[in-house]
Amino acid sequence: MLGQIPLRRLSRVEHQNTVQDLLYGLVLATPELPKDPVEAGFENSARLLSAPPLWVEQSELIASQAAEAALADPATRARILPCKSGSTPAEQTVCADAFLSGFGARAFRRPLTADERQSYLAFIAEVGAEIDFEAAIELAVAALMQAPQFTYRLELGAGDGRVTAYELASRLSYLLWQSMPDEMLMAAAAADQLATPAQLGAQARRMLRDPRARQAMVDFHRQWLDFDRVLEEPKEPGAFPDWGPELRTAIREEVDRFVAGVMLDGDGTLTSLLTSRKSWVDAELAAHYGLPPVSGWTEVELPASERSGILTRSDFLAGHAHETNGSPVLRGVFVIDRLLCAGLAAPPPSADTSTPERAPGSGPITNRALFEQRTAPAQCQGCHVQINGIGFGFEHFDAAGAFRTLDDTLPVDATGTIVGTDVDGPYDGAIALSERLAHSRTVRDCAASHWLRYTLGRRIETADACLQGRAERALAAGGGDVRELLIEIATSPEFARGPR
Amino acid sequence: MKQAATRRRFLQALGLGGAALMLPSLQFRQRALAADAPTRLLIMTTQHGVPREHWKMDLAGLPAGADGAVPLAGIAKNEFSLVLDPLYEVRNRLTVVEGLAMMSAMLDEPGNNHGVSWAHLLTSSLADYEDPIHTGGGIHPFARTMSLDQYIAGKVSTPGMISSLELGGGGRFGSGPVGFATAPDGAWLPYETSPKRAFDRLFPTGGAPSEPSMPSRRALIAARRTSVLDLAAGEYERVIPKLGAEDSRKLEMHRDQIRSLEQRLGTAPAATASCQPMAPSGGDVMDQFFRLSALAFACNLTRVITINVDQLEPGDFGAPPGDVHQDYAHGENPEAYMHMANYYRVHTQQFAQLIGHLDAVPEAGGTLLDNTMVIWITELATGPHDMADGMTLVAGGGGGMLHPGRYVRFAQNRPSPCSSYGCLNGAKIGPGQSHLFVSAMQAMGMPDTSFGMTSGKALDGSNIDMTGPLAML
Repeated sequence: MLGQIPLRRLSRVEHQNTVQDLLYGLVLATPELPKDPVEAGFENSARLLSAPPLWVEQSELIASQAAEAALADPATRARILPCKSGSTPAEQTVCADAFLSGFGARAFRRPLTADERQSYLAFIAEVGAEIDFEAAIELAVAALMQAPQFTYRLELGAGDGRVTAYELASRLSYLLWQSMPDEMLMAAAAADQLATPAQLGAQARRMLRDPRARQAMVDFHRQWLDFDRVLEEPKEPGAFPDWGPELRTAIREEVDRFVAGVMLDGDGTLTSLLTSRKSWVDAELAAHYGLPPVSGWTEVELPASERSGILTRSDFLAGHAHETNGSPVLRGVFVIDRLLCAGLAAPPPSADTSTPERAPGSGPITNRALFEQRTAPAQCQGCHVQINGIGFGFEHFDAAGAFRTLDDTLPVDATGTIVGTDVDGPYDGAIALSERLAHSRTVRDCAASHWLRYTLGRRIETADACLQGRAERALAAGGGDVRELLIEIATSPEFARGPR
Repeated sequence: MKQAATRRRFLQALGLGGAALMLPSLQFRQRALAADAPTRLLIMTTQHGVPREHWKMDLAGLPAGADGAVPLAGIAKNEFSLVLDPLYEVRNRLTVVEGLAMMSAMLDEPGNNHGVSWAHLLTSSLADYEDPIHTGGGIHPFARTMSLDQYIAGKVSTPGMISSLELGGGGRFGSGPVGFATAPDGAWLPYETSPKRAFDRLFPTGGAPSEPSMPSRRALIAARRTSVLDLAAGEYERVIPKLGAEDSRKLEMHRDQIRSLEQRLGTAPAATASCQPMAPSGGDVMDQFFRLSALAFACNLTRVITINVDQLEPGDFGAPPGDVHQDYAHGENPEAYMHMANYYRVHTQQFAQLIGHLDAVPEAGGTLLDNTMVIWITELATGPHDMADGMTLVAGGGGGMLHPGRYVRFAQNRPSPCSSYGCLNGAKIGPGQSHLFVSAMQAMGMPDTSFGMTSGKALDGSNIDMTGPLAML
């Protein structure tokens, strides 16, 4: 059983990666596609990825400019077009045919049908006669890159309830690489070597070792854990002397490096994601984290008493903060939503959502006390007992994510109580909180469901229960190793399910 | 200013010139000018809401507790409110509408009203709460249906035109370059954030006529971009029959966009006195978008444009550094209200610029503005999330359908459908914005009498009719 299998347009990131891989890594200065709409954090929602005019126009520009650049670059041209320019018409026909068998099949991620081949050959002959053969090939490249076979993940099925081997190869490559299949995967599809779980598992393991998997693994976490949010959050000028574009960029880059280092180079587990003290810092970030100076990006261990896993990195902490202080509410809601997969109701009509601040003329007061006062009314507590119970755990970190022991001259109280989960109870500070979350089955299952949603490009449906159970069990059995989860998904019968 | 003169004569004929005008019973539905120029629609959206004490005008002749209208022509500059003051010079070209409600949102489930507005403002339809976006700010539902501008664009654009332009973007608390326009499936459409890119879209060949003699090889290849699109569209044709209903609809829409682009690339607009393709330079980004909009209309490249103006920064409206959303828009104190009034004053200055650019293009014996309906609608009625008794501006002649130059008040005397977040606690409200949307469709020559929801239930059990055009426009 599997829920719906909607037609999926390549997302902006997938399109960009695919163009790059299709053109053998040629560096392009083409325009960017418009940003994709986001659903539940993810940018690959099948139902939301349509083709509005702006998208179609930009993709036309990308295709035209990329095709021109590809033919103008001798090395790329040689791979696209296995013959010399200025050859005879007869040779050109042979050459055009070879172009469609090679480059054409890579663009469509399967061999062209006879009909498709015929219409491209006719186009090449017509334009070749009018301009020249090279121009015809350039325009054919642009056309291939605007065809539905390129732009969408077309899955017509094998007729037996499964997708074809080539369609399965694409499922695998877009799941693990956010890009098209490579030569080995295409060859395996051609030889019908993607038929058994063992064959699929071997491919998945190979692909997870490829650099493209790093980029995709990082990008999944970027979407799931909203890494880019920190880029949008302003801080009060002057209040955080080290805050500036360089530090913000470094803070953003750290989490990419952390995910790659922990999830692919490390043990790949959620536990490490939530508790590892490994970090990669540059000079700015080292100073921000209170570490000895470094030059260039350097792998370090963060202070054991201050930071562990992803929730103690400034990307999350400064991204979920106000201009002047950290926000226990934003931080708590994020953990509840993204790590515990629990919904929260909207604030009631009377909720004051502005940043609570010390009243003019009054004595020192901690950020925590301000939020406690604000959320004290009984009508707030229904949700805030849970939100604050997690959010207060991050009070050792200011609006920029810097570690502090004093807040407004008063000692920080970062104790909290988790409620409504399988790891309920009191704790003290973000490290203890992260440790608790790292051992939560709810968090593990929640991560599995995010991966599943990302895999399917849609909401999880009742009919997905088997696959969901499989994913949850794989993550549990693998000690939280996300790579085992991905291999389980890739080798499951549901993953190969085709249109009915 | 033929249109203004026509209006004056019209009012004089009614014996109403300069006097208080009570219009609910009057029917203005007639086409006057511009038989040879198409009508255009431009919808401008801005973020947050406007403090009522700083924008409403209590003008002599406006009835209390009843609908009514007075001409703006005779109003002195010092009678204009702080927010509307920048519109004094163009007051005869626009109508201020007081008191509309975002009715579909008020009939829907509660949520964070920012997100609720994103799904409702231009759809006037129930939203999708099944799997909402959760953010720190609460629940943000999805739109289910296409926005007004897209519906109209689909009906009025002709082959070779860009069916609609979406310009500006930003504004929605970091959710990317989108505004309020939605595709048929409710997905938010991307907005073009760069005036330069927007110009390149409108004039892919730079707007200059191509060289007549000996085109270069690159020019020949460029000219074949239409054949490439034709080939790609053919592939869509080949694939569509093999897919299920929903998937094929998606690809049909994609194919149509490719065909439309193919036609546009194949026909460069002919430069005329009004259509002079010049990339806007100088001025701020919004002003460049306004000038581009006038150009796109003048060159007949599109008939429908939405412009979403980004959330301003404190420095833009003379406020101390702070979080505009949390500290100013949601601040419930006189100081914050004054900051938001200054915030909106910036937008009224922008609106005056926009009107000026449209009015500067001569067309069909009048100006482009005579043949355009400009609507300015705000995300929320007020900063603290109200959805009723909002400020709306309508400018231009709408091709003769509109009679600008008035302040129109809709009394808050109709039953409310909601008692939840931002709904004035169940107090009486004015008519829904859906009526304005019907007016827009009719100005564009469409026969429609409703857009989105057609009715709903008020708290007192009475029926709320959401059909028919807005009176007194």
